[in-house]
Amino acid sequence: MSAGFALLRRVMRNRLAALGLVLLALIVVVAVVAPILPLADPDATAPARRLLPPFSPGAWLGTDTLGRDLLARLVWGTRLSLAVGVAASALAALVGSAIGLVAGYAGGRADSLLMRGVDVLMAFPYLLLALAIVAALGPGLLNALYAVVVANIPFFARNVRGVTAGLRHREFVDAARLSGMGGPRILLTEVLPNVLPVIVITASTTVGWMILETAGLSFLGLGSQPPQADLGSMLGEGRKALITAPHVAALPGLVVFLIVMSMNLIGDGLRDALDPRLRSGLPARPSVATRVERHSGDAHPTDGALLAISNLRTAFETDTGTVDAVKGISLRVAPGECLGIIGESGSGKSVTALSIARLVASPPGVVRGGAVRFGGDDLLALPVGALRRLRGGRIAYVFQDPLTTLHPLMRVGAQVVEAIRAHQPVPGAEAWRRTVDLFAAVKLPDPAGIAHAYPHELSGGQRQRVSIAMALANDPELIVADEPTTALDVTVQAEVLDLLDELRQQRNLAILFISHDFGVIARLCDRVAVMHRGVVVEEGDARAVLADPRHDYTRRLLAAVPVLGQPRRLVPAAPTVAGAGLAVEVRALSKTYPARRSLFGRSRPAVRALDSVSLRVAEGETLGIVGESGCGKSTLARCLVGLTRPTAGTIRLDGRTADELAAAGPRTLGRTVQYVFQDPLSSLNPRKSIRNVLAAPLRFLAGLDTGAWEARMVELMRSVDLDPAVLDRYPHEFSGGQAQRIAIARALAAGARIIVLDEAVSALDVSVQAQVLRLLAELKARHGLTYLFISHDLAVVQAVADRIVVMAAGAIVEEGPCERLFAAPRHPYTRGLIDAVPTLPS
Amino acid sequence: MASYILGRILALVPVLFGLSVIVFLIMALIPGDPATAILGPYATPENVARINHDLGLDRSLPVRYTTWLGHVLAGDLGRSSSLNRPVLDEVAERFSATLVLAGAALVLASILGLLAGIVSAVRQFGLADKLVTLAVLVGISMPTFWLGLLLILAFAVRLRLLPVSGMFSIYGGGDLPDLLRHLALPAATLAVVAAGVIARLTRSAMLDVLRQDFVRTARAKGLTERRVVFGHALRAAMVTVIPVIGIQAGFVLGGAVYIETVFQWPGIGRMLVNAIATRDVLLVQGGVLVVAASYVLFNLLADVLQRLLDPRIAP
Repeated sequence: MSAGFALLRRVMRNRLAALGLVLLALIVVVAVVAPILPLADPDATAPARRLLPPFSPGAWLGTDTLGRDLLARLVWGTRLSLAVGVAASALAALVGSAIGLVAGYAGGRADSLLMRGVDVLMAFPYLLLALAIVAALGPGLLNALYAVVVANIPFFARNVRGVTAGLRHREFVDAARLSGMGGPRILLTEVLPNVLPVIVITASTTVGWMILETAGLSFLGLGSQPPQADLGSMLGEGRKALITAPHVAALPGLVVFLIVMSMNLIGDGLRDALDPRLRSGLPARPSVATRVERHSGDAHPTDGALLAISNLRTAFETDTGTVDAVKGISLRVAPGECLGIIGESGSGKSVTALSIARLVASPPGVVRGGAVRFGGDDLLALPVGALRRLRGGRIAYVFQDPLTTLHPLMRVGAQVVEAIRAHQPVPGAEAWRRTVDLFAAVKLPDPAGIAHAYPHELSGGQRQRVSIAMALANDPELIVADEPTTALDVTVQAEVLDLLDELRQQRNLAILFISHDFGVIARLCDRVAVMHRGVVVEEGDARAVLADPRHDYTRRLLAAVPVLGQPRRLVPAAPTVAGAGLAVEVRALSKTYPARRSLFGRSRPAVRALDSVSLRVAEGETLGIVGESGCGKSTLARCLVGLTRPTAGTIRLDGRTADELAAAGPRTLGRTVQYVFQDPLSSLNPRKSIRNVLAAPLRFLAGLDTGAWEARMVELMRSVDLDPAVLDRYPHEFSGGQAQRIAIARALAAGARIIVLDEAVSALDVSVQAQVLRLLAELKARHGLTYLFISHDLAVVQAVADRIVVMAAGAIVEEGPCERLFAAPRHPYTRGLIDAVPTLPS
Repeated sequence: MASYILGRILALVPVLFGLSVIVFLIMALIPGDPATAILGPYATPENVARINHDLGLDRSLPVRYTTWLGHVLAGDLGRSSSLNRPVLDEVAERFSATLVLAGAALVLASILGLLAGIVSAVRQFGLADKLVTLAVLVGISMPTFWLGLLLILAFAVRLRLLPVSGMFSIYGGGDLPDLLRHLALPAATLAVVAAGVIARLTRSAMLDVLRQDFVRTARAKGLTERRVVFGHALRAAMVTVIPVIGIQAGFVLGGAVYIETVFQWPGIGRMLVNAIATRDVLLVQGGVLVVAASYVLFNLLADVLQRLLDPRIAP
């Protein structure tokens, strides 16, 4: 087990955990070899030698009230206490985890029944339940053990259930189901390996606790009974001689303390070593401003620019070394100008934006060199107080996801008031009035009412308007907007972009606009800088750069972007074969999530996710399904592959209904239709090698023998352009694009010819996205596949689909051939959707 | 809010029902014969049968449960065989002594734990953080019954500063300073573990919150660091800390059993231990039931407080 050794090494690197491990190992070894140690008989009484002090001849640690040798009793007592603690922990872990696994995985009635039982056990204060059980069973060590076990079962059950329930909704569990695996097998091979670390950690952190509790019961006289003695009962007996011979009580207590402490140290070390968030070093609290470590200042003049970044270098210092995120970039923004920075993930565009007001989390971030001049000041040399007055004053920020960037527990009005009063000495009522004015300026409906709302009560677009109002609070000269519309639907994005443009002209605002989307940049920015791997590769007039890119990278990037209205087909149109059969036929499909009502609380009305949807897909055709979030497109996709059960309507795949497919054997559905999820990393089990991922459909759907797998796997890997040599690697070792290829290979493994692609390229960077789309085109041509291509991105759909279905509010609003639909949309909703897409200059 | 509280109270009914069933069953299944225990040398078969009939032990379990529950709901917990007085009177007296002890310990633990956790998070990796981390480690590993004995040795026997025990009844004679003198050592001992747990959780919750996007927003607004830490981060961290304080209340209530034994505090924990030793079934039953039911109500309070703090929790 090399993974075990790696873990041990990580734990040992933590000095305190290593200390705990050594201490515990020492205690355990002594306890284990107790029978062969030259110790006195722990139970031999000697009334003449009562209460001898430590270091007495013949009794190193002295004797107790009956003249028994304390050292011998201590060693044997430790042995007993350890055994009881470990047994109790193992038993509680076993029973509690089993309850938690079943409840979490089964869900529904079994879950609520089991967890109500656990709730009742939890309703007792911890030790009281143990006391009650001992009262029923009678005093005794074994009974005390049972009591502690029962009292700890809820703890394990709850933890394990929580993790299991979370895993149950993960995409890799759905993917396993689609690979033909049954419930119990999924529980054992997909879920359990992911829950096991939680069980092990929980058990290791509770052993100490269990030892403590059983010792406590023995101390009260309810655990081990004389002459048998664990550490707790020794302490209880020693208490009688507390004043005359304190060591008799003090020593067993000290041993309990040392055992528990060493176990706590190990448990902490283990948890730190296993928590992926902590792997790159200890979580450090970000300081007020990014650390600056420059060798010399920079004296570049600003030449009338509002913001002048020169030769900026920002890096992240991690345990494994320094990563340079920004490698010496220079940019200028004039007053009232809008500069766009565009780049793919990891290009350093956001780090550049955050470096300006030194908001890069530090540690690990550190500015290594260059200068950021704003007005006359070098922001990298400014004292923290002056920097703070600039932040939110003359330089304001708007961030990407307004749900996480607004304080979740404060009313949005109060958050803006706070921004005003941080910079201007105005009374609260006046600040509130200004806040309402700002909300009106960013066109929020009912500004006075919304000011009293919490962020979670607003829509994404409303929240982003609040963020913009907050940025405007002190009339800034520069707004740094970091992907401010990326989390929004396309129509909402268009509104927010219009608002920013309007505000900018009214207030002569300079904007530094970060985005990965060329269309968005083209819509708003005067100039654009293209970033790639920490450097600016090209900069210039936005329209000029986009229309006539000079740098090779920009050219490649632009070539990869599917552009609306300029169909550059990536997937060849389906050959119109006369008499081609129907691959998919959906009739009047509806899915309603029933109303949830609690007895007294607010009731949630029923949700119609799908409202009588009908569609047909011919064999070999690619049907694009587009719509904004919540339109029902994913529900439709899940119904098609049987992950969600529709409320009404029929689905026919290859002419057979779901019932007929089921009647044809459990494997038929999976061999007819397969599914590719949006996020490849969450649809692959992190604890399964690629070989095992691909083996599931081959074994359970294709019914191949072990011998036939190998050849088929190599073939599959080659077909998605991956080297078969990587079959034994794990998902986290692959990039997003590679992982998505693996997910596609899994979908193809059992020979299904209908593939549902649910936002399958949406999480990928644009250049990777183009590669995967090309792969999909090749595969389609080679295997004669039928695609249902679901996406929110109209330009991508246009590049691949033969026919398009537009969905809104659970229903199909328009349907038609690709060219016609984009050229002459008939439904106003489709028209709005197409108009909202930011386009590149032609 | 009112409807939320009402809903929560209704949701308690099955929990309280389950709790009463467990308490009843545990005591009903006790091996041994109460009649023999009561009669001692007079346990002739006829007497045993008569007592069993009087106690209703010759009837079926469901019938016995309903009868028992009826009595409990009417406030009749039976009569203690060892003390020869109504169980309810004894439990009420002893439980109020425990509440004083556990309440003081919980308040102390919350104050100490929150302060230590905040200081430690704000001064991460500094000297204060290291000291707090060490103190927390020692605190949560501490067997309280042992710590109690050590404190008695130090403060009461060697230094003669505080009384070792001698708290006979919190109602009897003594005034407030006397109560506080008697309360100091036991409450402090009882608070140690809970303070450690609360401090550790406050620290990690604060550190977690300080890395979140909305804290970056607060800094981007130009707020002072004091306001960022106390106005924004602490407020969000409290949402995770409060339920833990609620859970600690249960551990403090349980830990009181040790402390009462060590310091001779006239509380319900010591009463239960004695009642188990003397096989006083009704006293154990009544005590466990009252403490568990009060703990359930306390948890309800914690939930309501939690909801007041966090507008995101749906009713």
